[in-house]
Amino acid sequence: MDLIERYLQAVKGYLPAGQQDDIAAELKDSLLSQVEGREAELGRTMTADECAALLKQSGHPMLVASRYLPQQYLISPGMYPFWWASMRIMLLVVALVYGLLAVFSMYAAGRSFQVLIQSLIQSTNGFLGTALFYAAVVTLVFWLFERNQVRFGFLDCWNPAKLAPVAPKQSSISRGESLFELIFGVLFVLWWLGAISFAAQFSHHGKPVTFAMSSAWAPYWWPILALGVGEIGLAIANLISPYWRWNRLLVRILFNVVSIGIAYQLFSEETLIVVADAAIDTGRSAGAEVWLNKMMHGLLVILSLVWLFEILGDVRRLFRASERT
Amino acid sequence: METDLFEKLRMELRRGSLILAVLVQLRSEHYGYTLRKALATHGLDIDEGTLYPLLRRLETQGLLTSQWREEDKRNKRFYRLAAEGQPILEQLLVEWRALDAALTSIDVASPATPNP
Repeated sequence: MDLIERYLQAVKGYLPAGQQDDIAAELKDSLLSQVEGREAELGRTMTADECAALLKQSGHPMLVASRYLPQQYLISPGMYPFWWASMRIMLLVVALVYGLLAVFSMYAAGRSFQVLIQSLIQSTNGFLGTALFYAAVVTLVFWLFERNQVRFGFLDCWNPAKLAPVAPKQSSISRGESLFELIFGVLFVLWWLGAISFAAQFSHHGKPVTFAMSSAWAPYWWPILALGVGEIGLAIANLISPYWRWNRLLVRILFNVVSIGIAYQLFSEETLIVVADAAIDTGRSAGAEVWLNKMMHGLLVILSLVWLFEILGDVRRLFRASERT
Repeated sequence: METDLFEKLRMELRRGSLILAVLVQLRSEHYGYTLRKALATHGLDIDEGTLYPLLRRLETQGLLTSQWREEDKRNKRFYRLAAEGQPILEQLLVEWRALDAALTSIDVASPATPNP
């Protein structure tokens, strides 16, 4: 019987103070009744091992106590989709912020590999710490919703007519891709405006060579800035609603046509990059400049081909959309 | 896998039926142990880990009343159907019979066919 008393004491440890004695008394009666029943069947007193087996069959004290508690979950199945959606948004925002911070730290690290690795480790630690903290905050908020039986108004006041039209699989946009475009777009615009700068240096025949953009880019400064800002807007729209719509397709086609036009104009310029380093002799400087400009012309061709393929894909999507309607 | 799935579905099916069985059985007074025995006699096994919390929940909902009393030199908690629980039990039984009839009718109309 000592085992039963010990078992009941363990169960009581998991119960609220106000209910401990009442529940334990009822459990005790149930267990003693079972012992009596079993002993009547056996025709003798139960051994300590048999009593232990009976208690084990009743369940772990924590499990037994948990069945008396009013709420058995932190987030209910009904609340779970909203909790998960909130967690994903939170993780996306934290990842975006720390992704940008990581890029800035990498830039600040300059050419020091050790500092670069340190800044990367710091950014990763920062992301993990912040994400864990906000995950706990989101969970706590939803737990409070759960406890107070909060109902979300939008679940009752929604209009089926406002749901997005049925979109085929080809029309969906990867959120990861949109996020990448957004981060890249922000960095590009900041760099274009001069808010951040990257080391415009490379090693040529063992000596550092500093280079810069030539005056050929000047007429296109505003159009390129407008394109950069437009791409950011498009990435945000795609992130919020990850399906291609005809209006967004038209905007992207327009952006890509303008981009190809600018690339074509720039391609016709012989000097797009100038080497601005007096430290190396003129012959080597000229060789480096020719090499850099060849690379830039090649890059313009590759970019134009990418934009052209995007235009063809978007035109095909537009035709498919018009066929469906 | 198949056994696990069956067990899960069986538990879901039993959950509501157990409440009904307990309420019906408690038209006459019982304490936990005898209630469990009485249900088992009718072919409905229920473990005490499920039964006792269920009894408390039904009492909190006003469907049962309970009373501590000494019997066989031991304090026992006796449960019975509360006056407020009576009409609800009758409604639930009507619902149960309708459900049973509907299921039987559906089963008759769509008999199980062997796999081709």
